[in-house]
Amino acid sequence: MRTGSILWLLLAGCATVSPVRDAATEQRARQALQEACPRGVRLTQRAVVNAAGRQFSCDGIVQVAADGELRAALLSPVGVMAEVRVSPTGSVDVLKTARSFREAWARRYVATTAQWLFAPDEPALQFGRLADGRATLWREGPERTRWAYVFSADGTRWEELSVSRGWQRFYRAERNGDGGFHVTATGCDIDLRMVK
Amino acid sequence: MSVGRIVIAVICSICVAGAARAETNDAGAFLRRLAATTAKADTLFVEFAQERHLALFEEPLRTEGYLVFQRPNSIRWEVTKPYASILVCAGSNAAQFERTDGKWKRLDLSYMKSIGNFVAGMAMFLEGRYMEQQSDYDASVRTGDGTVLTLKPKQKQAAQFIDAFELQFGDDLTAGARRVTMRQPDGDWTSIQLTNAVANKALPPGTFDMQSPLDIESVRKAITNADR
Repeated sequence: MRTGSILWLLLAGCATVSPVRDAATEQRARQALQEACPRGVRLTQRAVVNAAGRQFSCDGIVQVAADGELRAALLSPVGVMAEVRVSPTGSVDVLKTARSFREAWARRYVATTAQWLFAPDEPALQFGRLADGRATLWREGPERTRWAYVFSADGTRWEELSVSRGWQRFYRAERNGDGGFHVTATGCDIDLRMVK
Repeated sequence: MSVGRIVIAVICSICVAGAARAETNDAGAFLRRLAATTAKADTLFVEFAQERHLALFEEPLRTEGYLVFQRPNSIRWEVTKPYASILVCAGSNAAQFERTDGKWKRLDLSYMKSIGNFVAGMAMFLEGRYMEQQSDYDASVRTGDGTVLTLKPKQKQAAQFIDAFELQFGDDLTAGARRVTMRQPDGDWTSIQLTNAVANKALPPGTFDMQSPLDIESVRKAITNADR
C-alpha cells in the first residue's frame, strides 16, 4: 500500500458525528442502504485487486436471502477462490477455498466486505451528521470499532463506508457511478464494479 | 497440468476438430483423429458462452466473449459480456486488460508463472500432441446425439478438483454447436459453449499485442469479412 494511502487512512479516521433528528433524511438514508443490495437479488461484480504491488482480477457474486442470510463467492478464471455464508446473526461459515487462498483471507476480506457492503446491520445503525453536512448511519462495536455509512446531505445517495478502530480508519469503500466501490483497506485496494 | 491448462487445451482441441464423423466408440481412435485434425490448425477464432454453476447459487454466472489462437503459442481470451476483459498470452509473456470507465487498463499481473504454464499446455495441444494426455486421463466416447468424449483424471490429486471433462461434439464434428463441461467433485460445474469457429484464417497485426491489443471487432471483421 502506498504511504499516502496509509496516512490518509490514519488521518481520516477521526471524523466526528453529530447526533441530530431529521426523520425524513434518516429514512432516505436507510432506504438507500437497503436498495444497494435488495433481498433475494443476486449481484455480480468484477473486481481488480491490488495487493503487495501486484494485481489480479476476479468475479464476485453476492446474494442476500429474504431471511438475511448472505452468500458470497469469489471466482478466478479457473475456479472458486472462496465461498462464504454469513448468517443473519453474523456468524461466518467458510464453505470452500482454493488451495492458494487462505481461509483467513476468506473471512477477513470476502466475508467482511460482503457483509459490510451488501448486508449491513441496518437496524443497529444510528443517524447523525458529519461536520461537512453529509448524513451518516453509524454504529460502534467491540474494541471501539466504528462503521460509518456516509450519504449525501439529503440522504438519497450512499457515498461511502468507513470503518475505524479508535482514531485509525482501516477500511474505506467509496461508491462508483455504476453502484460498485473503490475499497481502500489495510494491505490492499479493490476496484469493485457492479456488472449485473 | 493445472485445471486452467487442461480446460483451454481441451477447448483448443475440440474447436479445431475436423469434418470427419464420429463413428466409433473407440476413444483411442477418436483421440488420434482429433489430434491429427488439431495439428492442421494454425489459427482459430471462436465465440464462447460460459456458464459457471455453483451449488451456492441457483443461477449460473454467465460470461460471453472470444477465444483466439495462433501457432505456436499465442492466445487471447476476451470477455465481452457482462464486463470487458482481455487476457493475451504469447510464449512466456502475458498481459491482462480490464475496461473501466470506457478505457482499457493494463494490469500488473500477479500470476505470470501460472499463465506461462497455461500457454505451454495449450501449445502442446495445438501442435497435435493431444495423445500425450492419455497417461493422465481415462478417456471414453459416447455417441448418439452427437459425440461426447469424457476425460476422467487418473491421479488422485487431480481427481480432488476435477471429476470429469465432457467434450460434446456436433453430430458431424464440424464447427457447429460444441460444448465443454468441467464437472467438479463437489457438484459445481462449468460449461463453455463454442460457436462460429473459424480456423486457419490469417489474424490481423495487433491481435496479440501486449500493450494495446487490436479491438476484437476488428479482428473478427478481418477474418470473417463480415460486419456485425
